[in-house]
Amino acid sequence: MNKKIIYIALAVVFVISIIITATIGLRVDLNYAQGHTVTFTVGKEIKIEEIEKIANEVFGDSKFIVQKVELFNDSALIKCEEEITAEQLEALCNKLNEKYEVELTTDTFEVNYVTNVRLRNIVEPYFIPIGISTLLIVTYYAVRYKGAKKMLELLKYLVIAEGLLYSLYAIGRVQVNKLTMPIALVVYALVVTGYTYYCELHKESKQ
Amino acid sequence: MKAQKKLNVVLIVLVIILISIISFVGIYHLDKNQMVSMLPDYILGTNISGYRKVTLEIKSSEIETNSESITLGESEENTDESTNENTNETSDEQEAESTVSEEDIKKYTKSAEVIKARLKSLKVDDFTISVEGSTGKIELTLPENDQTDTILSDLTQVGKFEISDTHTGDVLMTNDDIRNVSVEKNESYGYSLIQMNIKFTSGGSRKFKDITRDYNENAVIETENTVEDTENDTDESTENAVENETSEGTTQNETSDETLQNETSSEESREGESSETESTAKTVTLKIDDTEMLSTGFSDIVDNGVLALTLGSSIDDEQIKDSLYSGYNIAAILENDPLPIEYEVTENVYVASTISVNELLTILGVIIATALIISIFLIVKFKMKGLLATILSVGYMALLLIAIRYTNVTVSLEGIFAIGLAFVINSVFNYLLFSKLKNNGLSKDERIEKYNDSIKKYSLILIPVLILSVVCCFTNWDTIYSFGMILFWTIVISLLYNLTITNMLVRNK
Repeated sequence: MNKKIIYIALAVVFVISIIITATIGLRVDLNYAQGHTVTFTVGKEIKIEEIEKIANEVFGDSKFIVQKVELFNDSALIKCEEEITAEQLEALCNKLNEKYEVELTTDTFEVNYVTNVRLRNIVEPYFIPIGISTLLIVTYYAVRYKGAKKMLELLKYLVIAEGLLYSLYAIGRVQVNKLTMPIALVVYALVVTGYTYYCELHKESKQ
Repeated sequence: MKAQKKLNVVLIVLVIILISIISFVGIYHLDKNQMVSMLPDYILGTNISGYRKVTLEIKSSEIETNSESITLGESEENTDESTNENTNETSDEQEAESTVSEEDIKKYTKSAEVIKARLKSLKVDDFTISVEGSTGKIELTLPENDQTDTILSDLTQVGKFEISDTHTGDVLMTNDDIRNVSVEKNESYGYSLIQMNIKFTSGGSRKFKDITRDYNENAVIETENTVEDTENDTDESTENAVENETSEGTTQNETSDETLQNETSSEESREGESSETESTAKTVTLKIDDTEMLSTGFSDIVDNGVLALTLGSSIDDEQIKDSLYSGYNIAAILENDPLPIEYEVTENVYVASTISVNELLTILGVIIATALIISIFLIVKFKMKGLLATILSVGYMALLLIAIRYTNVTVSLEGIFAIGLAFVINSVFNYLLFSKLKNNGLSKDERIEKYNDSIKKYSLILIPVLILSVVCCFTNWDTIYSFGMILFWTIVISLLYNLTITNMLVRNK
């Protein structure tokens, strides 16, 4: 009875997650989202924290990220969620000139629109290795534990664990970022190891 | 006897501490007044160290020719609004794309697919690609390494392959006739030869056989000589010294580094100035993107459907490497479809990782916290034995980190998570073993038996994870490969460590 309730609750959570993804979509990190970038070279050694401070003064509440570009430590890239206005560009230029005592002009700033990276493209490379691994692991389960029961149980737990992780991102509005796929991989490995541990103990106690 | 056993345990613990110091602190020696680590550095993956950001935009000449189709697209769009729905992801893009015809969008998508296929042919899997529907602008991120610039140098080539009649200009073969292209290095008389084999499809093979028959060295064409400029425009990719030979290795045209002037009779006769009709050898010209690579005739009929070209020869390793990379580029271009639109690189910058040092430290903090929780749990559950299990785990992690450094495994973000996972996996064995050794009154034989039982069970538990790691090791995607490799070493080191160090400890307890 308890199990039934849990499964129903899980099914409801998964359906809600799918509906949210289909309608609103997942919340993505600015690295993957579309936005506007401004790239500039100061000509003097810069520190990311300093540029972040300046960007915070210029762009205020809007979301942005700062990255170093090239290997000379004198160039940076700021990616903003919203379009960068001429005033913001001018303010950025003035603040950089003031901070680093240089004479930059906005003409030397490169402003670009950057398209979003499709989440499908991020997840796609994992499909084949995880698919093949799952196939081989369930085959091993079928041989080792003689039958399909344990094999199906493992698949069930994998779906539940990964589904819950997905629901956390969809319902919890957690940002999909560079950590998402590594976390999903670790969850996969933990479920496989944990359930195999359980199966081996179960087999031992039976014997 | 008891004192000997105690001494052994102390020695084992000291070995563990020594391994831990070497791994976590390092061993240094003085070199040119600097302390240099004797251990190799960690190789960081692209999502930690940084990557190359490249923007490809349609060449301005292409935009002019496309402008007519864009105007045409506007009228088409009015009649069928639904066509855009499938291609757009955001409302902004939808607005912009309404001015672009469906055909243009198809071309942009096809271009991105071709570039994707070329990168895959070049075994570059660790990339991201996105295409802007309204302008066709392509954003690429590539791993930063010594091949990145070579790959980029030819990535935007259209890749139109043609074999045509030198004199009439009739196109005899195109990209459609190519099945695949391979590049290999052969050693010959102390020289290394880089050879490119263009393998044709069955239809292409028949055409090529006919060409080698019709354009043999004895076939002549009667031409009226006129003065012509024979200077060839060559781009970087075709500037290689090219010695052409058929797959039979009989016809050879030697060319210089700067221009591809063939020392064939046809070439010589063309350079001569005469108003009389003259007989010249029938030759074919091999072109890539309308750039003449070579003109040649054939001495034998080639019926194996392979055109073998020598791209370069040298005794210098650097030159050979360059020719090899250049050959891979040409092969990737030829064996995939040509680009429907000509692109140019408008932005090519190295971008540092989006993961800051602080974020990395946070991830490491989470891993260390997890390890601490597991250790505390083991200590609470097994008391002194739990402490021993923790010391064993620390030694294991130290050994694993040394192995990662010596085996040159790339540590990506996924790899760091795999290192965290390694602690958990090894703790499974510790838990398994020490829950069996919980009772204090066990004899040596009983302890050994329980140890053997635990290691057997542990090996079986590891099989599914081993499958996952081996499969991940076979992918070219940097991050997944890193995860797979670290997981693989996790399992190998864990088994070896527990078969030696832990085993000795159990026997001497």
